[in-house]
Order: sequence, then C-alpha cells, then structure tokens
Amino acid sequence: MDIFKKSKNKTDNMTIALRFKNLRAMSRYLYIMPAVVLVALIVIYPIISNIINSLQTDKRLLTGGAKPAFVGFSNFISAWNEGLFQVSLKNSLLFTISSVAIAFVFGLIISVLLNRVKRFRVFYRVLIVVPWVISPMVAALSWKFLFNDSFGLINYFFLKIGLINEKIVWLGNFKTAFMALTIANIWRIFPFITIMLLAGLQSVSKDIEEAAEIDGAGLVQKYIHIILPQMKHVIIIVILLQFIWNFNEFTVIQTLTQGGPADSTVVLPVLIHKLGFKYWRAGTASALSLILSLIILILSSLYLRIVGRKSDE
Amino acid sequence: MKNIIKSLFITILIFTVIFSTLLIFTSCKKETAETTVAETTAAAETTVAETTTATEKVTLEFWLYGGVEDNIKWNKTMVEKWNSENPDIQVNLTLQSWETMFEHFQTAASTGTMPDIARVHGSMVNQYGTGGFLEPLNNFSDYSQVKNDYIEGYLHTLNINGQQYGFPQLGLIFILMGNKKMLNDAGYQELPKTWDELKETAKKLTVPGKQWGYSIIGANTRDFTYRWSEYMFKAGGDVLNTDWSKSLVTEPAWEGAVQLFADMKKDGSLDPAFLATDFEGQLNKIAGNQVAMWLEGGYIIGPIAGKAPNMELLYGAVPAPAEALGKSPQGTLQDIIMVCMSSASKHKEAAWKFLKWYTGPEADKDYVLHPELGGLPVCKASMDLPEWKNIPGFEAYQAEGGTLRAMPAIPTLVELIEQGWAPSILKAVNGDMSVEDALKEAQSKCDAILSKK
Amino acid sequence: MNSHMNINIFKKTVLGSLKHIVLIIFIIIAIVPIAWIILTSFKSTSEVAVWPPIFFPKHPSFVAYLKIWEYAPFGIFLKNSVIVSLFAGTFTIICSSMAAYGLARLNLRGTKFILSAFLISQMFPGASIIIPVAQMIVKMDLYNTLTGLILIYTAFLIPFSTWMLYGYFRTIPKELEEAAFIDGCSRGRSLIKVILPLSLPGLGATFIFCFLGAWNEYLFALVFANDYTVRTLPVGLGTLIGQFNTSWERLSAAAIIFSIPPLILFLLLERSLVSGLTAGAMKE
Repeated sequence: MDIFKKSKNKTDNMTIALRFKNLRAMSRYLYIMPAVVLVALIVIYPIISNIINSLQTDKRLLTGGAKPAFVGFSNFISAWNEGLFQVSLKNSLLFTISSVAIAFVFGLIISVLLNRVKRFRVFYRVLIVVPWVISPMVAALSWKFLFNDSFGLINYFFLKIGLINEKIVWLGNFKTAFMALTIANIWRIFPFITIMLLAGLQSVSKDIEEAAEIDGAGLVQKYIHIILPQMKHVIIIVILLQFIWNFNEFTVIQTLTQGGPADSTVVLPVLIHKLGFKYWRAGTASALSLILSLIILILSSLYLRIVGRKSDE
Repeated sequence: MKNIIKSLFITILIFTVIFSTLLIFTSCKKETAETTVAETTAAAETTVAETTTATEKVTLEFWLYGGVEDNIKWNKTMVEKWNSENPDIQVNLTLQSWETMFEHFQTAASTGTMPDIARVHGSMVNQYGTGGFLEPLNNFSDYSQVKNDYIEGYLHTLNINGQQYGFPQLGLIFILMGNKKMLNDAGYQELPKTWDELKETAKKLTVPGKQWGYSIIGANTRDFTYRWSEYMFKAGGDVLNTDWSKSLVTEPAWEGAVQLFADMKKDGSLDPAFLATDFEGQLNKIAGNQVAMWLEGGYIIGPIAGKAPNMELLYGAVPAPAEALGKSPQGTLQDIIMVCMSSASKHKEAAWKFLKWYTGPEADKDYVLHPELGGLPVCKASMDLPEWKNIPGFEAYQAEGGTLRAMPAIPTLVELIEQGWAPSILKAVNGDMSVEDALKEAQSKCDAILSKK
Repeated sequence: MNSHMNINIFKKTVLGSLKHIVLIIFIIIAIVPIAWIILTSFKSTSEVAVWPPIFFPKHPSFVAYLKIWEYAPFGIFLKNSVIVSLFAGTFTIICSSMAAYGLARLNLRGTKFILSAFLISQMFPGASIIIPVAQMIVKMDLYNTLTGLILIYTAFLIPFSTWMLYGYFRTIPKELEEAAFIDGCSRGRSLIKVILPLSLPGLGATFIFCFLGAWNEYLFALVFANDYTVRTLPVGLGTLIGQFNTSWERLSAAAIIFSIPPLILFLLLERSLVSGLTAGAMKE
C-alpha cells in the first residue's frame, strides 16, 4: 500500500489511474472466471469434440486408432435414416410432454393445497418430497418391483379392487410398458415441481389474495386469473427445466425396460447410448446427440417465445 | 486500490483453496503408491543381495465382469491363492457390472486405461480384438505348447484371423432343464426330445393363470437370442453365409424355430410375461414352481438351489425338429466367458503368466469338481477326471458336445442381434406380426447393417 | 339465516377435510414404493417373490444388510460418496455464487451470452459427452481419483446453480449493497457480508440440489472410478443390479443405505429449501 502513496507525483498519476481503471475492469471478470473456466473445460470442450466426431467416419474405434476420415454430413443422414430414429423421437416427445404435463398438474394441485392447509403442513411437505430426494436408480428399481407381473403390488391391488380380472404384464407390451415408464417418471419428478410452485405461491403477496377474496371470485377462478399469473416466471422456468431434463432422461428407462419390449419404448438418449457404446458408431451417435440438443433448443425457444408473448398481453 | 487488491487476493485464495484440496486427494493416492514401491525396493535390497536379477514387484489390474455369486467367490479365492504364491506378481481384482460391460470397457479402451487383465464375455473379441485393444496371446513364445491344453472349439471362437485374443475360462452351453416334480406329476419321466414333443409337453404342463410349460427371457434382446437361437442351430440353420456377407434370417431353420415359439405362445404354454422377464424374474418363476421347462446354462443351478433348496431338476439336450430344416450340421451354440489381456498393459509377461495359470488345467479342474460355479471346463485334462460324469446334466452336455457352433465373430454382431433380428422375432413370437413378415423385416434390417462395412 | 350458516359450516369442514384427504392420497402415492422397498429389505428370501405379496416379514431380519457388506466394501463406497458430494456441492456453491454475483451485479459484457451458454450446456445427453470428458480427465492425470469426479461434478453442476443464484442475487435490493460500499466495503466483502447472508435460503436450496446431483450420478462415476478405493455408492448399487442373480431383498437393502444420507441432509435443510428454491426464478 505504501508504494501507491509514495508514487503520488503528478506525472505518473494519470497513467497509474488509467492502468488501475483497466485493472479494476478486469478484476470484475475474476468473479466469473472459475465457473466459466471449469464449464468451458469440462462441458464445452466435449460438446465441440462431439461436433467434430459427428463429421468423421462412423466406426472410428474399429479401425484400431487409425486417423478418422472427414465425411461431411453423412452421419447426420445415417442418423436420420436410422431404423429406430423415428420411433425414439416420437417416444421421447410423448414421454417428456406427458410426464411434464401430468406432473405439473399434480404439482400445482398439491402446492395449492399445501399452501392452504395449516395443520400437519411440515409433515406433508417432508413426505411428499421423498421421491425427489432418492436417486432415480432407486426410484426405477422400486417401480420395477411394483410393476412385476407375477408378484407386483400393483397387480395385487388392482385385482383386489376388481379393476382387472387377471394379472397384467405391465412391462411386457408396448402400451402398458410405456405407461409404466411415464408413471414412474411422473412419480419421480412431481415433488420437485410441487416444492418450486409452493415457494412461488408463498411469495405471492397476501394483499392480492385478499383482494381477490373481496371481489367474490370463486376459488378456481381466483387461482387462474389472479394468483397464477403472479408467479408465471416460476412456472415458466419449472416447465422449461423439467422439459430439458426429461428429454435427456436415461436412467429410469434403462433400468425399467432397457427400451424394450422389442425396442418399443426406446427414447433418443437410450438410442444414442446403444449406438455409441454397443455398436461402436460414435459418428452417428454424435450426430444424433446434436440433433437431440437441437430439438431441445428449438422447442425451448419456441416455448419461451409463446409463453413470453402470452404473458406480455 | 485496496478494494481491487483485496478482491484479487480473495479470488486467488479461493482458487488455491479449491485446487490444493483437489490436489490433496490426488497426492494421497500417489504417495501410497510411492511408499509401496519404496518398501519393495528396500525389501529387495535386503533380501536379494545374492540374486543379481532382482525381480521387480508388479501389480496387475484385473477386472471381473459379473457372474453368479459362487463364481465370484471362486474368482476371489483364486486371486488370493495366486497372490500368496506369487509375491512378485500381485493381482488386484475389482468387480465390475456385467450390465454396463460395454460402456465401461469402451471408455477404458478409448482413454487407454484398460486393466492388464479382464474377464469378459467371449463376444468382446469381435470389437476389441480387431480394434487392436487386446494383446494377441500367440505373440508369447510358449503359446504353441500352452494352447494344447484347451479344447479347440473354444480357442477357435476367440481366434480372429489367426490371432488368439483371449483364453476361455468357462464354457456356457445351454441345455433344456425342467422341474422334475412338475414333469413327473404330469406323467413325464424325461424331457421332450423333439419340437412336437416339446409343444405337447409344454401344453400339458400349463395351468392357465398359474403355471406355464416353457419360459424364456425376453426383456433383454441378447439374452433372448442366446436362448432362442439354440433351436435354430438345432434345426441346421446358421446366422450368416460362409463369407459373413449375407444374413440367413429367412431360411427355413429360422422360420421353423420362430414358429415353434409362436405356436407355444398361441397355445398359452409359453409364459405370457416373457417380454418382461429378465434373468432374476425367470429365476423367481422357476423357484416358485411357475414354469416347468426352460433353456439355461449350468450357472443357474446354484441360484435355483439358493432360492428353492429342495427342487430337483431334469436335464436334456435341446429338442430338435423331426427333420433338419437347414443345410448346416445340427449344432448347439457355445457361449464363452474369456480372460483377455490389454494390448496397453505394461507388464505383459507377468500378465501372461497369470492368465495361463488362471485359465489353465489346474484351475479349470474346479469347474468339474464344483458344478455350482456354473460353467463347463475348457481344458482337455478336466474331461478325464472321474467327477466329470457327475456334473449335473452330464448326459445332455454329452449329447450336445460334438457339434458346438459359435456366433460369427464380426464386429457388428451386437448390432445384428439387437437391431437386426431380435425385435422382429420377439414381435412374431408375441403374435404381433406374422412369422413371415417379421423375418422379412429382420432380413432387410440385417442386410442394412451388414452393408455398412 | 340459520340454515345458511349450517351450510357454510358444512362446506368449510367438508372442504377442509377434503384438502387433507387429497393430500394424504398423494402422500401415499409418494411413499408406497419406498415403503415397499424398506419392507422388502427386512424380508427373508422366501418372502420376497411370492403371491399374494407378504407385506410384513414374519421375522424381520438384517441378513440382507449384512450380506451386501460381505459382497463389496460398501463402507468405503459410502465414505467416497459423502466426500465427493460434499466437496462437489461446496465448490459448486463457491464458484457459482461468485459467477452469479458477477453476472447479476457487475454489468459484465457477455452476461447474456454466458447465461444462455450455461443453459445450452444442459441440453446434451450424458452418453455423448462421456468419452471426450474421459479423455480429458486422463490427460489431466485425474483418472480413477476422487478429485476427477469432484471436478467433473462441479463443472456439470455450475450452470444450473449459477442460474438459480443469479435469480436470488437479483432479488436483493441494490441499495443495501450501496450502503455497504459507502461504509467502505469492497465488492468481495459485500458479497460475503451482504449478499450471501441475505440469500442463505437460496444457497441452502442450491446446495441440496448440487449434493443430490453428485450423490445420484451414475454414468460418470461408473467409467471414471474403477477401483474400490474410489468407487461411489451408485456404482456399487449398479454392480449389485448388474450381477447375474441378486436377490431383491439385498438390492433393497443397498437402495435404503443409498437413500438415507440425502434424506438426512434434506431434513436438515428442509426449511431453507421451501422458503428459497424459487425466489430466484421469480425475477429473471
């Protein structure tokens, strides 16, 4: 510090001030440095290498480390023509949209109720969150027990209440297997949505709620027209994040059905995994994962645009 | 000014804190490694003053992928035995997951971090052998003597273009098994020998909604293929033509074998839950007296005994059609668990020593003496042991033994199974598709995969 | 009048209990699968896969818990998991709170770009980036170490937690910080003394999120940690699943051991989580 005080003669003053101004401007960037460097190193680099891979020979590893050749966009064409591509794209969209939509409705109902009850509130809150806190792997495993055809609890329960006449092989045909996957996934994600929405509801000011009550608006109307618009940012971000994460969901599907029976529940991440790791087609797998991220990107920005326009009105 | 310096200082401090903590973890590991090296060199100096060629102590990494419980235990004790007998060559065994063998092994291969030795499924030679990741064992000088110990059929399967990429550790031959009590109660003393008998017996043993005559794993396409294709091989069919350029999926042997299962499904005698059945699921059904017959390797005997200690089993050869449907010799699929060496290993000679011993005649004997290990011996010498005749299902193996067939050793085998034929066949068996259409679909898919060379 | 009152009271009590009934139904849905796993883990082998299902084991046994300990050193896995998750969570919080502060308060050029780049980085499937990441970790000589795992998790958790904290920091009035500057605080000091204490709930919530993310991660842990000494619990559980025959009571026992630490953490930080979590997302 002494140095700075001593150098207070007039000629150097300007240059030092300038230098420090630059330094000060630079120093602000130090705050974001660790995060940006780490993310760039571990996240961005693989994405770039993914792009490079997608433009190179498909069976890269099979050549025994020989230099891969540049093949242009042919990997994208072969990814598009891949037998399972269309099935898995359809499944991915169906799986993600139905999971997020249903889980959102559940989350909304529970969070509204939780916000209105006074007794046992903490008790409810702690128990409802269990599916989110345990690992997706454990979640998938427990649903595999429940859906088991020969001794699963679901068959037992449905038989008891007379909903079905004989045991159903839930994971053994396309329709029920897909339903089972979606149910397990909804179960896994609805607590997170509930908690996020609950926090949003709690931050809606009490004045607005009371004003609505005086207006004599019905309960449902009150929520649709007054309270939910207040927390639109929460809703937007919750849905967006869930959409991105669920589109990339791998563990639940791999553990429950491995994409079966007969490949009928394959989704894009599972297909990419198969191509990359089992069939040694790194090129096609990379191309496919770029297509996947592009789909997410397009859908997310489309969604943001629609939601943004609506909320502006 | 103060502020700037302070913020700079704090940022740097945070950086150093983070990275020094990170470094502590790494350095911990390295230090221990160094100390062991130091210890051994010190030990070598004190004890081996007289012997000039002080052998350096090496540690081999050994990855063991999956297996039934008894088999894992056996592997552990064998490694312990080796370690106590060979202080110079220590083996560090790590258990890995069978289910994630592909992703795990591939990441290791593409980052150059493969272990010295690995025990994997025999089909891994197709990709990793030709990919240059496995050491050809014929590079070692005494290979030509050592190889005479093993049964040729097994060695041949692990040999691609004259390069021996692994030694077999245990053979897996699927035979027909049955629940003795259920069969006896229905008036059968032994298992069916022909397809027609199989259909009939399975039908008789079925009690709708309660028990089924036949069970197969259908939740995993590879597991399904290895248990279904036995019937196709038995009918004289094959997977590919001789130069491996064309798939033979629409041949009569395939059609017959698919039709057999489709018929059993139609009769209601094939477990209707087969598409959702995995290994553990099938095991539970067997132990719970819900299924009467199934095709499996010997490794299932131990787990069955674990779940249902009093269950008696019948063994038989894979049933054959009344007359051969294909031109190939009637055969049985042989599946192999192999031990291989990484081409990136730094201690190849040591690894070779261990590998020879681990799969060799001395260790192999145990597969005859302990049938609960769940595999068949792979060395010729084991066949001469008197206990060989007592192995459960001996007669069935004997009947299959002469005509072992193998899946083609092409790199696209996994893709052919999973994407080529298995989904279509599963659909046909389940009745979602006619057998003819399914096989046509499979043919076009297989051809597309094969043309992508 | 009187009847009107009665109807009102009736409405209130019915509606009030209806709320609780609906909530309890959802709670049951939420905990039945887990309760079933807990019950299964105390059963004997002969009670697991039977029809009709046995709900309560006749003689609850800890055999399954003891058996998995025999099978692999789950104690070491547990220790590794705790170390990795705690460090990854802490480092993520440090890095992303600094970044979030920088982005929210310092008018940096490229703020929007960095934020959207962070969001886009979340859109890639794990399977396709695992090999390049592995190659890099090997180059850095961090393969098969806990350090490598901590580094990867930190990097993968930073984007989301930066987004969350960015939202929280923006909700804190600028005036508060300006008052601190007048008192002679530096920026770093004001971050520590003003911003962080005010957004403690948000930090707690973000920390839980990061801890869970690191705790549950499977694919990276599988391919980067090959030794027992550095293996984490998800891989231990995965190896158990991947065995040829693993009875369900043992799998359940492992799953329970696996789920307890995050549940404890959640109970500890539950309050902050609920009051926090979305405050950040409220104002973009």
